[in-house]
Amino acid sequence: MKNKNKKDLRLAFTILKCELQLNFPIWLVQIILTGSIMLFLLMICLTANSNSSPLVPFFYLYNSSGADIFQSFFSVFLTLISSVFSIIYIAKSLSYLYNKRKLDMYGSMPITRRCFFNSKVFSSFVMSVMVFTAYAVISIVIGIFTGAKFENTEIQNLILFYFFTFFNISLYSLCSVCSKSIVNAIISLYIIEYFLPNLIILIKYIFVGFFNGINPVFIPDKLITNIFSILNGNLIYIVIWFIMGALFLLLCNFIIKKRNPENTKCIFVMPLLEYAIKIILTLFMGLFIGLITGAFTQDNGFTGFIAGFVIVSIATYIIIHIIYNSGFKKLIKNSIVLLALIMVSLVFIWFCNANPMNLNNTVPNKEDIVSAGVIDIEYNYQGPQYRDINYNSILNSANDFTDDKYIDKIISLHNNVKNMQINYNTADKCRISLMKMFTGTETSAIIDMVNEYDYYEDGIIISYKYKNGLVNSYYYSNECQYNVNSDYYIYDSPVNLLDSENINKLRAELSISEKYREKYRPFFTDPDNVISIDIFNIYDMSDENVHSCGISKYTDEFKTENKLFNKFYKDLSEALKEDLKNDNKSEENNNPYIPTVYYENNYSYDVESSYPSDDNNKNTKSKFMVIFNFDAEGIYSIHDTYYIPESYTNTINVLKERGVINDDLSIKY
Amino acid sequence: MIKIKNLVKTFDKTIALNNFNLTINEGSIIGLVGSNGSGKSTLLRTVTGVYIQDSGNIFINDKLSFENNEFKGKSYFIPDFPFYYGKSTIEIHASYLRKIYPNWSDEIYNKLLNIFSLDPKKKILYMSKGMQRQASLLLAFSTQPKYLFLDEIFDGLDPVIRQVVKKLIINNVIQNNMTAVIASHNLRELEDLCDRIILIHKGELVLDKDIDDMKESFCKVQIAFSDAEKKPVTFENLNIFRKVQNGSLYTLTVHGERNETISVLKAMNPVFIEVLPLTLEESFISEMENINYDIKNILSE
Repeated sequence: MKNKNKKDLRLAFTILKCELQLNFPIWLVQIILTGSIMLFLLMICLTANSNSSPLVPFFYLYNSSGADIFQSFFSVFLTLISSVFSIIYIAKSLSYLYNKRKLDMYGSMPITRRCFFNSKVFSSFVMSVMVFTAYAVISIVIGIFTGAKFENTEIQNLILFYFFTFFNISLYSLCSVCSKSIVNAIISLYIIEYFLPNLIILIKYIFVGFFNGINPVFIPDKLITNIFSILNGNLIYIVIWFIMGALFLLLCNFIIKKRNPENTKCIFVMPLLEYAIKIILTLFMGLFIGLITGAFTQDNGFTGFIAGFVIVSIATYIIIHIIYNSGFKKLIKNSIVLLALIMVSLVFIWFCNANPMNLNNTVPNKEDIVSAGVIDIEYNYQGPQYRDINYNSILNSANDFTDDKYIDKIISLHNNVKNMQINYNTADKCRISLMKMFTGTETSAIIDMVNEYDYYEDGIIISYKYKNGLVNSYYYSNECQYNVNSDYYIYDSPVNLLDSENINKLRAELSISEKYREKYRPFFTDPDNVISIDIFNIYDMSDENVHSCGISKYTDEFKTENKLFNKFYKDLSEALKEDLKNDNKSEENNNPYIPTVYYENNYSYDVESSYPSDDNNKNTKSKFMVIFNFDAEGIYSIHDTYYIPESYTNTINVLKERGVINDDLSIKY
Repeated sequence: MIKIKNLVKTFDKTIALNNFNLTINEGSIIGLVGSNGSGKSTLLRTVTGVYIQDSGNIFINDKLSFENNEFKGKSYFIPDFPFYYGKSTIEIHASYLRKIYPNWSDEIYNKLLNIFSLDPKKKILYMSKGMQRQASLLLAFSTQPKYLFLDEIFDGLDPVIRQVVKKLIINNVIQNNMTAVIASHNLRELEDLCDRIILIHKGELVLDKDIDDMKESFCKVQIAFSDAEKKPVTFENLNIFRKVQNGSLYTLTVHGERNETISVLKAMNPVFIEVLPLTLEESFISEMENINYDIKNILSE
């Protein structure tokens, strides 16, 4: 037995050496291509002038030098190129499976099918990893010599690549042994790696659209979607990639021994992959088109959804079957799978639409909860760079309010939102699913600084902590997307779930509450980062006489000026905090409902965005607003706006003393 | 010894080998004949482990042949269209096989390079069909196979090289007790090489006979009688397989032992009698007709 293993190992090593020799031309292409990109990036990054270069935002983003940016950029390019080449290596190595002449040669060689197959897979892995490792090390060395910081992420990237490549190569191998041609294997891989994550996303957003209030953060779609992308991977995925890769290889080893490509006329050797592809594509096309037909049949959305789903599913399945089997052979026999698929899907669609278990649609009783919280997407600040509302911050928010007054407000807000969705029909749900899917709505949305379309999300996350310790979270939103250049809305939410006077009032009351502002507003959580303060008169907007005044921090050398700024800021913030405290005690809320924590790219803050609309103006007694501008490491400006009514005497006095406002509360020029 | 038991191999709905049984003794040269699509190549591929049978078994010295590295290390298969790496040379192929086949012999390799006059550094793909065949044979013999499986190996070889190849095969059988299985359309190629002929038709074994036995079981005789034109002769005591009369001269193909047949014919007082040589093809056709097979439809040539 030992001798046999030794022999197999020796043969495997021989094949590995031969493969390396035979694949040398491809190796060379990869080395030259990667090397050229490395030199190009190196040249651009190291010679970039920090004032005029288009890389300026990246200098800020990474808070680092050209060498650091080179390393970050090259790491991405290297990963992508190496991933593509890993597929080329494995595709070439396993091409013997489809070549009758190669099979004659390899099949009759004194090496078992499994050993030969595994040697080929292993050699592809070695080839993929070698070039990647070499260039990764070179880039680290270049980085060190050009002054980049050495970070653990470099090593992490290496490990991620090894495991992802193992996973990717194993998955391709599985597609390969199940297929009868290299083209089919590659297409199958693409379908699995592209359409499967999209199918998961589609199902996720059907949940989100149909069970309004469900929190997308709590749907574990990322677990599957990120598996297929190394760029989204983290160390947790190493375990997943390893286990999945090993499973795929085990399956391959089982199949390869029994593989009988000559026995079938279908383009698949094993029906396993054929069914997997058919199911993925049929479900994806059926559900996607079903949502579209559902969304366009306003009065009868459910029928539209079902009709669209059934027709497109059947058509997709038959078309794929015809392509794969070069005709209608075995279609009747195969239709059992289609029938089962449609039946299961119909039950799923019915379940989503009817919501028989009233899933995620219950406002809890006050007696059942110990605390509650609200995160308002537009009144929220989680850090200097991103308004990143993650799983933990949502769970944490359930502890925010324990006093009855605010719990009542939260339950009232929740009831109000729920009442807004009473008139939802299936067509609306379909439209919400589609819209959320295309906007990629997440509570952890990162502002798109490169895209000219900015994304504006208006939403709230309500969380409750129950007496039994469980936390339940609900997410409601309106979304819209607008073109930052022309300020017109591209589309609006199909149903304005949050657009009611009551809801606006409650949101404003909650967001101005002491607890909320101390946790989620930068003026309280990040006071040292204020770089300037603006004071705007609210009512002068209509006659184009914008009365405003601002005071900014200067660079470090202007010590006297900065002393003045610091003094002004200190006095103003103390006064405002005092006024806000008093305001919370009064029964009447003085704040209008408009976004107060505002993110903007390229310092292009448009003050109009912070002005209350006409509707809101009716409710506000504010005369002017104070905007605190924050440093967001040069990428965005973040603004925290406070509306100052006449009752905010402390603030008004400070501003009067400094000569910012007149006695009639108008702003001095 | 190779023992094939109830072998079945199908391609989709086509039955390539149907309940096929065969035993091949060590040190024998077997000729595998049959028309296109009869199952010859499939049999070779299944025995060598390229294909997996649907059912049945192949035993090599009582051990299953599939995934049997010991057997594969001692066997070599040259298919009808062998594979050569893109732009590789004989030398590159040799370096690959040298590491994989345990009995590789550089001495034989170098010797055969001289015999075939092949340039080991020339790219195989640029060689003529005949030279490519020679390259395959060169590599095959260098592995010192105990079992050699050849599919249409004589295609494209010139008469001189054919004889060299035949001699090489025979020498290997004599010296190393090698077993060779050669699939071919051409019976004439196999006549002076094989000691046994197997005919496959539609995946079934139709005939399995030693060439000597086959030749000896028939004899061809020209015989003339003085008054045969007026009074046709009846050969009642003989198993006449074919009879052609030309005047008083008969050409007979008789099924039976040669000496016995001659003595019976001599007893009929012919004016002339002569035993003619019977080719393998004629014996084969006679044998096939004897077992009521329409040979013209079976053999393509």
